Amino acid sequence: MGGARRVVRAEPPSRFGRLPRRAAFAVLLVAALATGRAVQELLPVSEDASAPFERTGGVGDEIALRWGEVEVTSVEGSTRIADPYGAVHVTSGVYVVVGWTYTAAGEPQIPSYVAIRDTEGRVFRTSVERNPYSSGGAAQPGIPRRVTAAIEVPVDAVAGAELLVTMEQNPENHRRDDIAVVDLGLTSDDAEAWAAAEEPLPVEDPADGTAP
Amino acid sequence: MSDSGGRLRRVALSASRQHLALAGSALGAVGLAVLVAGGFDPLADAAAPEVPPLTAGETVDLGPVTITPERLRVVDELPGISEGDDETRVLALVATVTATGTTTEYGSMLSGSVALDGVPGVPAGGGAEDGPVPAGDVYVMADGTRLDAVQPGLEYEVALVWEQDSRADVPESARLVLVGRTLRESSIDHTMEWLDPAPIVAGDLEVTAPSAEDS
Repeated sequence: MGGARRVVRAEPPSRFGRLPRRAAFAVLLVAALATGRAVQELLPVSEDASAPFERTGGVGDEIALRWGEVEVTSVEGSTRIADPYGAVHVTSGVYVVVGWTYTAAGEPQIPSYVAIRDTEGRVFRTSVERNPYSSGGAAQPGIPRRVTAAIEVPVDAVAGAELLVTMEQNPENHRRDDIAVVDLGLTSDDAEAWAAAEEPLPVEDPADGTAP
Repeated sequence: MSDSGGRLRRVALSASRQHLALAGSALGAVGLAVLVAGGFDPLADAAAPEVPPLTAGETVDLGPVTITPERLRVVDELPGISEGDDETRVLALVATVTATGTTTEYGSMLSGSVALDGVPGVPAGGGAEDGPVPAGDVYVMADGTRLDAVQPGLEYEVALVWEQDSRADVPESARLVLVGRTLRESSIDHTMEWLDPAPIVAGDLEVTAPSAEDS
């Protein structure tokens, strides 16, 4: 009699093994994407993490930033301004007129975003005509440029107001960049006096060099 | 053997394709019949939705700003604004405007939100006359300067202006359309923006000529 024959039975293929390789890859890809999305939502990534770096100071302080240096040299207010073309603008609030100097670092720079932020978080930006500000184009590094911004705000926005200055015009692009925040040192007494002032304040054209 | 099997397969495939085409056509016909029965007319223009009527003196929330339209007039003495010439005259909507948010809104958004509809000679000099015509510009009544930014917390009395071809008559009234926007996340860059402009109120306002106002 011959010896017992040994029967070797092949393992049934697993369910996963039966899947076509492409289908398996697609499933893994979707699973990886879903996991990534879930992790992203769980992580404490918020606007705080991408907020701009606020470099703070007061009037007369030289504030050093990634792209240069900012120094506010004067702050005045009135209900009227005379723009560089001679047109007089009248506001029902107050025009805050800020003179400041910036010195570009490394390469020619244009601070395109200039605004006043009040204690309530309201942001009042410059424009072309109603809130005149001109950078005068790109300033050469190392050469101070004197500029003026006139921004109309409600009277109740004056006390505690800050000037904001940075490069990118679109606030969405301020993420993780330096922004100058200058406490203008204003009080409710300033607001009251300026709301009654009718003398038009001149808004000067930009000029290079330090103040004469 | 294999050849006859292949022929059979081809015949079967051809037959199934024909059946599919027939079935698709039948389904399409049934669908069209249902749509027609439901009142759908593919040749008819999409009817413009009715918008609520506009009333002078009533404040309307456009989203980024509120506006209170007061009156329409032919401009004669607004400082800084063209008073027209031999070829054009200026129609102005006098209104009060306030920003609703916490940051500056720009004037182009405002002028694009207020339109005249169906006024002969607007816009002056030809151009697209189909549909409402947005205001050409916005001026501050207090000083006649252009309003290119609306600051939060301030109220502006403004004139929104249109040039009208002077060969056309001064209209007795004009249809004003106010366009609102919705604050939502942009699908392009995921920032919050005022999007989806759509008329929210419309109505006729009387147009006053300077002489009529003086009398």
